[in-house]
Amino acid sequence: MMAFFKKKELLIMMVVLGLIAALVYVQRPVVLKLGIFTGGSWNVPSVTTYEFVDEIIERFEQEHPGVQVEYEAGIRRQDYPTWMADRILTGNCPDVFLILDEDFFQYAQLGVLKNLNSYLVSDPQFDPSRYFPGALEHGCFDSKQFVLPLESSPELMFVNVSMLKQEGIPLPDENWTVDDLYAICEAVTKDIDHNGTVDQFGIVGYNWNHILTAYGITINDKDGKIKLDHPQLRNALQQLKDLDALNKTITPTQQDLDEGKVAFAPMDYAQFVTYNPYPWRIKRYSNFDWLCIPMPSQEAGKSSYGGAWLSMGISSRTHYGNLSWQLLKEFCYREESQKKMVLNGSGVSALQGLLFEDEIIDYYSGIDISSSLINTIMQKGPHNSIMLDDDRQTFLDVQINKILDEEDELDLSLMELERKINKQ
Amino acid sequence: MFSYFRTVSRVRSALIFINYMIIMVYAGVFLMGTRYLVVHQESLAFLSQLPHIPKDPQIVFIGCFVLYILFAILLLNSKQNQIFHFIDLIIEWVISFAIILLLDLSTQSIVLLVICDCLYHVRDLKNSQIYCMLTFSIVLYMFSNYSIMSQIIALNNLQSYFTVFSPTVNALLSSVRTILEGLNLLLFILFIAYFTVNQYKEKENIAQELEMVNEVNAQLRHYAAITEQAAENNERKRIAREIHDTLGHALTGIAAGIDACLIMIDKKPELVKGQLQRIRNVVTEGIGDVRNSLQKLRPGALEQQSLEGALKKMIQEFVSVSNVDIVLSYKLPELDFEKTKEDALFRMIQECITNSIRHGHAKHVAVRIETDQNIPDHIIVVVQDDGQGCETIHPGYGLMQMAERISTIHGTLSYEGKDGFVCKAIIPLQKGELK
Repeated sequence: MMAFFKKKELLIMMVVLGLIAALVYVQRPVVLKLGIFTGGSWNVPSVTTYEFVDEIIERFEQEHPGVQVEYEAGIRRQDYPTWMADRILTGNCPDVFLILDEDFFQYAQLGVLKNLNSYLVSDPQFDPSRYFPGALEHGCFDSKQFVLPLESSPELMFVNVSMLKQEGIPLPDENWTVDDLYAICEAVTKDIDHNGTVDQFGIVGYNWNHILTAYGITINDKDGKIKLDHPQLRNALQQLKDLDALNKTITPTQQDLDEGKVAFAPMDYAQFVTYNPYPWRIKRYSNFDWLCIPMPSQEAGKSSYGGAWLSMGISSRTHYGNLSWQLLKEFCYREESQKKMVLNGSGVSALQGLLFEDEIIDYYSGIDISSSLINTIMQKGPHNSIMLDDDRQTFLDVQINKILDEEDELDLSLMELERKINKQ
Repeated sequence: MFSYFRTVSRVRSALIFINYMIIMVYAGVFLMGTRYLVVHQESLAFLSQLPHIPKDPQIVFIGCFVLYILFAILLLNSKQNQIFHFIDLIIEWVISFAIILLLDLSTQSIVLLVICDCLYHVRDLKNSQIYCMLTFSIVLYMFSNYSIMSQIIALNNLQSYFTVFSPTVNALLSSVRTILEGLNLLLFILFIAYFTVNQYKEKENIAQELEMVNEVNAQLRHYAAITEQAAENNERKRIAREIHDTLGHALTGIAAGIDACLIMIDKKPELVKGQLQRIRNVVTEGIGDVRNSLQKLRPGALEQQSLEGALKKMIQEFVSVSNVDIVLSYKLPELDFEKTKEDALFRMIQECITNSIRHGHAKHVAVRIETDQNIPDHIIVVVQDDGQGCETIHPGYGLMQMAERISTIHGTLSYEGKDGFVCKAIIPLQKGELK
């Protein structure tokens, strides 16, 4: 059998085939694949993404002749995790791609992301201190840098300035606390038309995630378990319960906020930027003055801010590590790109120096937020105190809200909930 | 024997086929499972079950197929009776491990095939090579174990791809996999069993043959003993005849002559003189006869030639029947040896060379005969070999007889076995021997 295949011939055949394959491989033009989604990074309308991306790609291709950058258009943010999962499973992971906070740990653990430590050390052009402290740590796992921050959307507090003025309450400064928030809410919660139901409210949309961030509590422990049986956590939830109790039986709605009947509401930067410029601002909150201030913390001076990051990383399976690193820097490190991103109004840059450039200062003052406020928040490093996949996040949301509404004995119910969620 | 080869070859072919099926089932499930996940939009949920980022399923599928075809060609090309090359086996190992790696160590069935193939070729190998091969195979087996290696390197878990399909398909695929892997194991055990039984049988056959040879040997020894006895008897008869014919004759004559003298000595003393003269003649004649008889009993070679010539002839005979290199250095002046001395020297050298070949398994033997530089009027005989020698020497019959022979000619014998075997004799020369 197979007598016509002599061993030598077989070997020669293998070598020749290998050489042909290598030649074909080498002759191919270099194509870098980019994984991005459309519709803005945050859940607010935005139309500038592809324009922004195309500009960066064009510049990159000019600086690296013979290299093409391709991306698949039309992937929506909500479809992006599934799209990425498809790519990962079929072995077609893009070379450089966007990473949402909720996917980061999974990707890092699975080995989807390339460890960037060697580039950080060997690239003389790269200076980590140009980022805000904590911005790079956010993309660290197991002391390996896996991603660079593209943009951040810190959480801010919407304040109805007209209402506070009317009630004679001064605008809180950036060191305000949750206790201050409670005091103001208590003061403004009123039945103005005296019909027996409260119709001016303190705060809407302030949930357990916000208060946990204010307290600086993390519920994820190192081995992926959730820890809820924690005195600080109980105190935070108790305070949230007290805040809710101010409204008696009525829960304020988004409509109340739009109509100027609510003093405070958490609002992330992206939402703020989106609603602020003309014509959004006019359309939504036209009958009162408002602005955004930092979120309150548990103790004055010990501020901790919530917020989301959009990061970018390189596939561990890429064939063009160095080019990908250059492209990654083009997005996340190059000042021009980052400036363009800020001016497009999609998020806050993680580059420190950018904040004090005239163009940016002008931009921020144009949208009624000060560069120093952004600086204060970014210096602390906005972060999510809760890192959960969608299923567990929804489950906890429902369960904790149920506990807040129905239970008086927080300790027992939290213990029970901790057991339940870790069993899942 | 022939049926063993046939059976083992068949089992091996079956193993090659079964392994092809197993590998293609894994690669196929990996490829189809991924497609299924993408089409049914279950990829995101599935991703969280995986321990590590998977390889490109298409590359894995094609890679497994191509590599396995190469592997199979290599295996089917090497027949059992062909000359075995280690490089073939190394290529086999490399290809099989590449396949295992492509499949993220999810199946090790191919290692069993590689082990079988090692054993398939062991017939022309030394024991050390077999051990080396088996050790490598065991190492390969360890390195291809998912539960061991997943602790060390990040691996994807291909087993979980079996669960992505609908329960019916999942059950079907899992049972196909289990059956194939079971069959593979069964065939492996069958192969090992056949191999072991055959090995045992071969050993038994060899033992039987050895026994037969021993029996024949014993018969030959017995026959040799009988022949020797017969030769001894013949020699005895010859010596008896010689004594009877020569000494007996002479002594009888002498006795008769002396009797006559005794009678005559008183009556005719002058006649006795003549009689004694006759007796003396008989004695002289007798001595000559005895000498002639002794001449007949001497070693054949010495009878016709000088000591040097006889030694050369003897050495020539040794060299022609064994592959030993024997060098003779004969540096004696013309000597008129007594025949007994010549005999003793000849026998000693002969015995030494025999010992070197028989006991020392020597390749080179040097024989040296010369006048002693240190002690005047002595000659020295040295026989040295490069054989095994021996640390402690227990003189046997040969050495004792040699020493005895040398002592009869007033010589001394010494020997040493540390580096090869050296036998040295120092023999004094008597007056008149030096010409």
